[in-house]
Amino acid sequence: MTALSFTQIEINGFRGLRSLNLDDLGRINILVGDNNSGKTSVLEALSILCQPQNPDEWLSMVRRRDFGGLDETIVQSLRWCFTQAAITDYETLIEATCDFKSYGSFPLRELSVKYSEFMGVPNSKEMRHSSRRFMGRDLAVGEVMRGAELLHIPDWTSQNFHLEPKSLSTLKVFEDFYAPSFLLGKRKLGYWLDSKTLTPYSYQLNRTQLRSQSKQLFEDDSLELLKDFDADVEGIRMASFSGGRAAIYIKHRKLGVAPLSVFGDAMRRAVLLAATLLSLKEGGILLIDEVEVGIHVDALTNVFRWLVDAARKRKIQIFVTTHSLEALDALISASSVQEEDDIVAFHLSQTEEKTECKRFSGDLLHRLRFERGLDLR
Amino acid sequence: MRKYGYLVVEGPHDVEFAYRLLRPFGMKRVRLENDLDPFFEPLIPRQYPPKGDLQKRMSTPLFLQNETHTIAIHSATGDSQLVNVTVDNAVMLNDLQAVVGIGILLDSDKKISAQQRYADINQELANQSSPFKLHDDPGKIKVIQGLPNFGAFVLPDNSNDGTLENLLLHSAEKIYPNLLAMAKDYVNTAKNTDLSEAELEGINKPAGENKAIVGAMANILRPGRAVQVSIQDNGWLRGEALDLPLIKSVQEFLQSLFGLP
Repeated sequence: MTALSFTQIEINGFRGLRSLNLDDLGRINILVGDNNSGKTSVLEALSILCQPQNPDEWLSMVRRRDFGGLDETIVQSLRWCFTQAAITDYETLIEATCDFKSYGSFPLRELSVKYSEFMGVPNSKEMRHSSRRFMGRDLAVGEVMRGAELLHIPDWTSQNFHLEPKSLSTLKVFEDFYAPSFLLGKRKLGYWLDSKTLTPYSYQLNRTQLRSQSKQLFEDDSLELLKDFDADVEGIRMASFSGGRAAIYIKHRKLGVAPLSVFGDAMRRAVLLAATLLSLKEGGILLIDEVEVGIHVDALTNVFRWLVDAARKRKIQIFVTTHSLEALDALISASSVQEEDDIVAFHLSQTEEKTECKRFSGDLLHRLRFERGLDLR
Repeated sequence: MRKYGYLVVEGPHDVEFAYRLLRPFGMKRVRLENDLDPFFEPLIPRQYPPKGDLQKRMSTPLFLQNETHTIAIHSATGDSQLVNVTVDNAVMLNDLQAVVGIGILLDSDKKISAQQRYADINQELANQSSPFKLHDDPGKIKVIQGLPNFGAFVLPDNSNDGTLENLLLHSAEKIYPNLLAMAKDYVNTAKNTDLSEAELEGINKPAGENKAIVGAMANILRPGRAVQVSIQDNGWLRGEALDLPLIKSVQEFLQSLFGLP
């Protein structure tokens, strides 16, 4: 089997995850467990692990978690990423750490993250390049506000990596101000893994994603997946009929050439899934939260077969969470007999002391689901 | 909180045998899911048909319960799945620390000795990298710190070849002596009639004759019903029968395994 980017990960102190060890990872990893067992947190931890020298990833990560912008400030969002926040009152300026370890072909071995809050005044550079999360608040010059700093300290397999200067690995934010990397013209630095996260609501494919991923949409592999969702799909293309900006159109046996928006969430989800996976570089990581969303039970088997084949072909590693037994079964069915550890399931549960996980794979997984009909969730 | 345990056996007759041995401790059959201690909820199958096979039955344990204990008796439907079922159940349960004992009941026949069958089970457990290890001697319980008590009993007595039927017939000598004599005669006569070789294949197997005798008796006692119904309902394993040393030793194994008073 091709070497996987991650063969094992350990997470401690991140959100509700304490001393969690996911060992013997597969190409496709399925996370199951009760609500609040930490499944989504594992995906978030992986997105951080893929960017050991880019702590800006924390901002993308908390934005995905708080899509509706319910949190008061960005500092609040970051604070609650650390297990220690749970036992500290808001007034206190906290310092917290979390620790990740990883093994696999990706050369990162450990990532320590130190988080510290302070009271300070953003300097003019920080102010000029900042972007407000919500409007309607005028700042007085020199206003003291709560800030937070995140420091990434990676440890790599070989000495060469240790030469990277640490200043690249700090993120500093104030209240609800932050400087998104694209505003500063900052590209991803150092050694990193290509990763993409799909959330239950990200079927609402937006223009930014469209721009960055449209090339992949027109590969044969994409069309194959779309046909799994709707057998009447004959093609997909970008077009502009009114002479204005282009949009995605689906060529459909019954509907003719129709804009993507006409089709339901499932088709949009399929387009996004195809475009996302196919855009990842070899060795990349695809993270899908609630993988079953938008996919009818009858389509699950075909869709997952496509997903597993594409992942194997393109050497992508996938981590999904699910609440659905049908999705779990469809994923198990999509694995092959030869590659027994292609598909691994992990059941997460929280105890007083730590986050426990049970690993199920290969023969055991087949037996428990298909012979015994037992519920692994 | 109750104490929990499970016993993996080869077939439905063994399930009823174990039930009768545990009945005197006040253990009763649990019929409704709502009455079952939630600890064993993960062992209830939720999906039909198993392996897509419409003719296969769902593999549900018999749950026995009293105030202090819930014990699952699980038929592995054959000897090849004994270890798989044992290991799979341990994986499914949420808190193995709460399990006081796990046991396996198996038998032997003339082809494979009791010692060999016992050793094979131990080997298969090792092959699956299971933390469970058997005691050196069949019928004895292995106690390992941090793990449930673990043991396997090879019917009828951990040393001689035999099956459950040996124990049932042993009991019948005391409880149903006349019926037993008649059944033996009947089976003996039947073996020498005009039945074909194919038709006599079953009865000529190592435990075949004994099974036929038990079956013949069971059909008198519970006409038209399966043998396990007779084991459950009739006198094979009640009262005086439970005082017979051979049968008592199996009961004592279970009592010790599950920490029953």
